Amino acid sequence: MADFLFYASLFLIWFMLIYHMFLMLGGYLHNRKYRELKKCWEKKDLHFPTVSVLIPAHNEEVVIKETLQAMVKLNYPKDKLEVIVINDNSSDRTGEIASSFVKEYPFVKVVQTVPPFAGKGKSSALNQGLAESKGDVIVVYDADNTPEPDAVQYLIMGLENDQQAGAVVGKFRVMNATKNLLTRFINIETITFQWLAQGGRWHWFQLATIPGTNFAIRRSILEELGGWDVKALSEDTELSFRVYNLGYHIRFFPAAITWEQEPETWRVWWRQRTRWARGNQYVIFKYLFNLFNMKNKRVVLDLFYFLFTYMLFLLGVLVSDAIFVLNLFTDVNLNVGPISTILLILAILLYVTEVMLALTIEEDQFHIKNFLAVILMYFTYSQLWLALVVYSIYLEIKRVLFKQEIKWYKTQRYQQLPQIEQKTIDHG
Amino acid sequence: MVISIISQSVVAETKQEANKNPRVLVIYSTESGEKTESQNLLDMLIGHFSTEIIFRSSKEVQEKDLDGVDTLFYYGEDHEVLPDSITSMFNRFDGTIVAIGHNVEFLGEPLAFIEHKGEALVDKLTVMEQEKQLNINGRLILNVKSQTSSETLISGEGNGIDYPLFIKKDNAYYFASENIDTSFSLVLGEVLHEVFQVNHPESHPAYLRLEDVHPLADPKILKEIADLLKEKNIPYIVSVIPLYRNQDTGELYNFSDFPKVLSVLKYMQDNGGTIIVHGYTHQYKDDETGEGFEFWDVEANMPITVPPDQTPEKKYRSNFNNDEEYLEFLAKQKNFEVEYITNKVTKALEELVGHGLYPVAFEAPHYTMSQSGYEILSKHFSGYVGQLQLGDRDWRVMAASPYLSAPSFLHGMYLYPETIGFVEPDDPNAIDKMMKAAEDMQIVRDGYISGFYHPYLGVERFEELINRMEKLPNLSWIDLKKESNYVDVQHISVTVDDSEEMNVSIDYFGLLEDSPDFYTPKVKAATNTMMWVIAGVAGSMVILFIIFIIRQRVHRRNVEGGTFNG
Repeated sequence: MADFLFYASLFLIWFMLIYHMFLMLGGYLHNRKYRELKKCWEKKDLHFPTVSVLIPAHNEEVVIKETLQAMVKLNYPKDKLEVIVINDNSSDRTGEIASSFVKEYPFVKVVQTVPPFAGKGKSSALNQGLAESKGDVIVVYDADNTPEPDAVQYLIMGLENDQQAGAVVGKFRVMNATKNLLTRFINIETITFQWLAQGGRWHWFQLATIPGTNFAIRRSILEELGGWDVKALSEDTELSFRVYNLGYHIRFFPAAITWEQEPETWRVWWRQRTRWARGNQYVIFKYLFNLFNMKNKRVVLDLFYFLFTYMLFLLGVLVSDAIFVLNLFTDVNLNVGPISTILLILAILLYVTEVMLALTIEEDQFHIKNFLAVILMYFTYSQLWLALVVYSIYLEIKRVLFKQEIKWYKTQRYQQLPQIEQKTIDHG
Repeated sequence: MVISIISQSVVAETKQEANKNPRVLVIYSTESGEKTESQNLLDMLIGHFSTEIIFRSSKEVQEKDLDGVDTLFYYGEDHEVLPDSITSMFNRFDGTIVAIGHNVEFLGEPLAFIEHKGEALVDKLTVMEQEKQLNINGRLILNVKSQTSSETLISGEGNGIDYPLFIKKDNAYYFASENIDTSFSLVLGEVLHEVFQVNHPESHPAYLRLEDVHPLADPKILKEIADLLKEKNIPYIVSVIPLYRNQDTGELYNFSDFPKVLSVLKYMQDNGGTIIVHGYTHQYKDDETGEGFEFWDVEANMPITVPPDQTPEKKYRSNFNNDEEYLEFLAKQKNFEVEYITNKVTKALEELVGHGLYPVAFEAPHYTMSQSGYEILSKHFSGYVGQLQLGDRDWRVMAASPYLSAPSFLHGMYLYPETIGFVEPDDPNAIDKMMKAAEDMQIVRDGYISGFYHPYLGVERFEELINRMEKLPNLSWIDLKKESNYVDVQHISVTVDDSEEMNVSIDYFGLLEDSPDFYTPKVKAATNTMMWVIAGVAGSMVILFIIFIIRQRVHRRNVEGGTFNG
């Protein structure tokens, strides 16, 4: 019995690990491929559609100024561009700071949310922004983002050169990566996530997920879909599924880069991640039972991926851990031989090489400090994920049982040093 | 190769002539009126020549039993005044008559040439036609006054005087002893060729059996022995116990737990070895595998009639008020035994076949099996290897026929007899003793020269044994896989004959329903393979990723000059 459970969990775990391995390979290949593509597209004349940049902001006084400064530096014809700050029920100086930009830059607008839609969360704010916008293409940035000047242009480049693309998503980088151990971990995690999950899935299956920021989506699609799902906690994943369902794909084009802040305390991180996990679980249940109605069958793959991540893989890890711990104290009659040890070592080696490969794609991320952080992460940060998923499942069950209303836990922002300095520190 | 062809032809001939199949009636006189161990010995001798053997006690035999009979035996084990009806049967019968032991004076005209004159002590036996001699420990035989018209086929010698032991006159033969065991069995077995007019050529089928191979066997020694036999191109038998039970903990181990042993067994199976079933656990109650008896309750010295945790009831007719109750009691015991044995052999087959080992015959642990046990076995096996327990009175009374035989009490099974014993671990002269026995076997023209060996004794003694056996004249190693044999239990059957192919048929769905455990080893093996495949893929990918990392770094260093130390 113990043997059976152990092997079953080992299979679940390795099913996932092999999929990841496969994705990382795709990510690496895509990194080589997209650079060629970028060169090729840069040679062509680019048609500039009208673009509305939506920035939902709820009490963002700490970061909004910098974000808007980055917006006004965007290399995009200003007559085709509008930047809309959606001031969602802020009680601080967010609106005031945004308004100061409106005076100086005519393409910047501030939209004030109004009850009953005020303070209802990001989806609701975005829907109001959409209603006020005029652009043929909608670009979304979180309020803590500082996109590189060419970011929007690259997003548009992706859309214009690929008519099947309903949306184009860029890459985000962590600006406070060296702030502390947590942000270093997050930095490593996000780099790996983007090359492995976004790059890998795009390379093999033309699949990518809208990450909530730094993406462009055709207005026509948004209108057809009726905007964002206000019930979804992770509105981006949910939106991605619907885009695929319309028969479009989402292109991952890492030439478009934005820099964003990541949580600097564990508490904030925990709340943010709980929201994401619950959001993805919501998506699983919303679509799992509609599998056969999905227009784009590739999305099924993504659904299974989520199902695996949040259910089966978790189960596998928990069961094998439980057996292992039980085995320390009692004889559970486990008879597994050297192969399990070999697989354990291989799992760690795979993890390290995958992450290091992702880091090596980025400039200046491949160094001894990060290497040590990667090792440390395996035993700390990565394991927290277990607790996180368990907790989020608990919350989700509680919500369903007690019919609680979903609340948007806004991620807390921090005052940042100018980015140039940041990079210097990064060099260490 | 040549060897196996010879052996095939011998057996084929034997079986073929058995198909000619003279019908044999044996009338016997015993104290109880039941067939005894001695009758079973005779059964085993006749079983070489016929598969149609009928035993009737002198008290129950009827005229009609003689219908179609070609050869009529009388075995007077005990003194008895035979009725006239029997005398007249012998007078009327015009086929071959063989009388053994006592009461010959009641057998009418054909045996009137026999006149007893007390007893005689003999210590040397001579088969006249072949002038072969056998030195024996002194034995009493019936002293027969021979007539000039009679012919002595076997003569015994004692104190320089010759006494006839087996005499012929016309179509009647007489064996002058009420006992036919041990060396008597050899000489009688030989001259029965003449009685049945079958001229088997002089050639000695031989086999060596590797005994008690269970999951905890030493794979290294097994492999060495297998290689030795492969090199010599000698076919052999491996008696396999599929489950090992630890005496102290009661834990059971199978071949999945010891994959090295399993892989050697498969190697053996592919290179001259033939697997036979040697029980399921080779034990009963709390015994250790290989030590315990599995099909005989050795404590009570009776067949197994109750589960291991119960004490068997040994009752006789006198313990019951009437026949009905007694029969009911016997039926209950018998039913238990049927279920017990059927279950054990079925499980054993499932274990073996589940692990890819295909047995073609059976050998009972310690050769112990009740008479009804043989009948139950005969529903599942066509071949039995070793010796036979001759009766239900005492497991210690056991013997082998000198040659291939299908005695009636095996209910159709053929016995591949083990005739020269085994290498006794503590006896330095063990192999000499085996060779002496082999020499004795030469007196039977087609007598088996066959023994067994416990692999745990190591390869050296085995090598000595095999080398010495190879020097014996007229030896032909038999390949059990090339004999016609079958094994058949619920959902599984294995059939072999002289063709190369072994025919295995497995009802997978039936097994899934009735014995899902059958699949455990397969699932385990598949799981293990899968794990290694995963490890292989993951390992290659790790290497690939490292190459990518290095390539990317080299590329970047060339372009930008970054360093790892940041």
